[in-house]
Amino acid sequence: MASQAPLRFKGNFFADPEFFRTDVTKGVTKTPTGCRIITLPSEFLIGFRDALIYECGGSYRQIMKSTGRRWGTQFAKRLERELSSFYQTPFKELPEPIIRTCLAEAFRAHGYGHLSFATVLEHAEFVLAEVRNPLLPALIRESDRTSDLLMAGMLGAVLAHLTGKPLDAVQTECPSLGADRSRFLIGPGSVVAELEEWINEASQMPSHKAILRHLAQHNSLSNGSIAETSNTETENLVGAQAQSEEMSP
Amino acid sequence: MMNTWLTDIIRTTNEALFNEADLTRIMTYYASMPARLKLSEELERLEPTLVKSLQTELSKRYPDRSLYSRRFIQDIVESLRCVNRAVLADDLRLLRYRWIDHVLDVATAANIDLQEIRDAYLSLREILQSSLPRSAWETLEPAYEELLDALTRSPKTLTV
Amino acid sequence: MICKIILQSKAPYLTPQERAEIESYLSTVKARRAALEEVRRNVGKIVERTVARIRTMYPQMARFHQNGYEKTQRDLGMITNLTANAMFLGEHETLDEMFTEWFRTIMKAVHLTPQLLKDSYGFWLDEMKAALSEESFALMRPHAEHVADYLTRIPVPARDEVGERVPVSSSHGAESWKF
Repeated sequence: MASQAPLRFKGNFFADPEFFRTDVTKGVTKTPTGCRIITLPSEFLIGFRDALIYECGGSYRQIMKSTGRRWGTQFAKRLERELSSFYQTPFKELPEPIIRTCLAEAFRAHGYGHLSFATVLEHAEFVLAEVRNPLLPALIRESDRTSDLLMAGMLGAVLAHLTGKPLDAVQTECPSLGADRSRFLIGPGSVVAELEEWINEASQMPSHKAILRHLAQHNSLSNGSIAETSNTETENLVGAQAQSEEMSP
Repeated sequence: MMNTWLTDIIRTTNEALFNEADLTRIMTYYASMPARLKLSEELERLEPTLVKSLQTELSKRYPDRSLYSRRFIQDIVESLRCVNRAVLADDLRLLRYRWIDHVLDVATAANIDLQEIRDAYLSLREILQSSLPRSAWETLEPAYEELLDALTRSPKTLTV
Repeated sequence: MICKIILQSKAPYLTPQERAEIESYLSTVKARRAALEEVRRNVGKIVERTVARIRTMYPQMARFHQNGYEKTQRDLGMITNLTANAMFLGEHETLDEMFTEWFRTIMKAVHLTPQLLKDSYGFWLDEMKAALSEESFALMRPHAEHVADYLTRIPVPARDEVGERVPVSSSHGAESWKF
């Protein structure tokens, strides 16, 4: 998503008390650009997930992720339209800090949680995304596997659309497993697929650190070490003792 | 999305008549509207000249700062529209959510020294103080100080 | 109104028209405040007299709706307050978002007839006019007529639940109200 376009300060496009406007006579809610929005209550999301599990058994995970991907692609296209108009510049061409900030602001405005990014592997095309207060894990309180498959699909698709690269995401940490936030590794689809296979074959969900170690060891693009870089901290997680749990500002 | 204080009153009052305390607050706000409207007019009148004035000032004081492109200066001047809206609504949360938080997030993500952004607003403040009628500046000042104050804090400590 | 204009304005700063609307509204605020207080003092009387006339014209309604007249009294009090608030704010868009559309669905759901609602709101406007000063009623009128117009626009139910309508000699001049 790197760009040489100048940095712009235009404000939070979504932070407007009138951003979602409902015509009560028609029962229709729209954004300023005319995109229709609906509220999906938790009962629907749980019912949807439960129905998928009931109807599809073990393959529900793949279907949920696939649903997330389709959703993410449409979401990214809408964001692109809205923010390109707002910035008078194609959204994909904006500097990366702006794109990341806008994505986070979009997430907050739509109630998807508090999104932030950190670069995981230097010189490799992996990014770590964190979502605090994620929606689905808040509803699925306990699980033996990660539960935010919709978001994994969605984040992979959003970044794939914005970069034009075949990206995918895998969830590595989940509040349903006791973590304080959802974490997703987003990178080349083929590598993510291998990671997912390794995770699924494990008898127990591997820890986030173990997944990063596995990624570093098996990722041919890296030199075998991981530097996990947040905007304020850098951590070495392979070949050294883990120093800190803190990942993002 | 956030409501302004007035929207909050309307929604929480619901099916009762507005109570005395709320009416007093609303009437006080209404009494201040002429000054707020006047500020809005003055800022709109000044805006076309502010970019050039600020550019001149910043290139004199900080000739080596690459942040101060014309685009950046335009954005800083145009941010007064957001400040103005918050002043009109008498709700600084509009400024915080729409502008301040965004600037802090972008500055953090782009590794920009907040002080450089603050310096631009300090220079703009001087221009506004000398260009606006005194009463208009006094109406603008609380919101402007809120903005400057926020640019001295790190994002972690910002409270909203 | 001020809230709506400021938050919905698309202009970088307000347009001259928006400014003029705000200034025009501000020039009426003291009168609106006074009108609100007048409504506060008289809402009980307005509602009581309105319900008495409804009861006379629709004596059988209680057969279909348990505590129907009492609920009507409660609802009319609420509607009077909401309308007065809308009058004070100078706009009824917020009222419609929060209340009017929802309340109309309730009227449909309990199988009231458009005729009963026209009669009722006609009485309501009559009693409001009688209770309030000319100036205060002039401020209330456009919002009250809007609410009445909105709430009377329901379809005739297949089976109404209002009972017989007994025309009374001092019927309101419903045609003089704009709904």
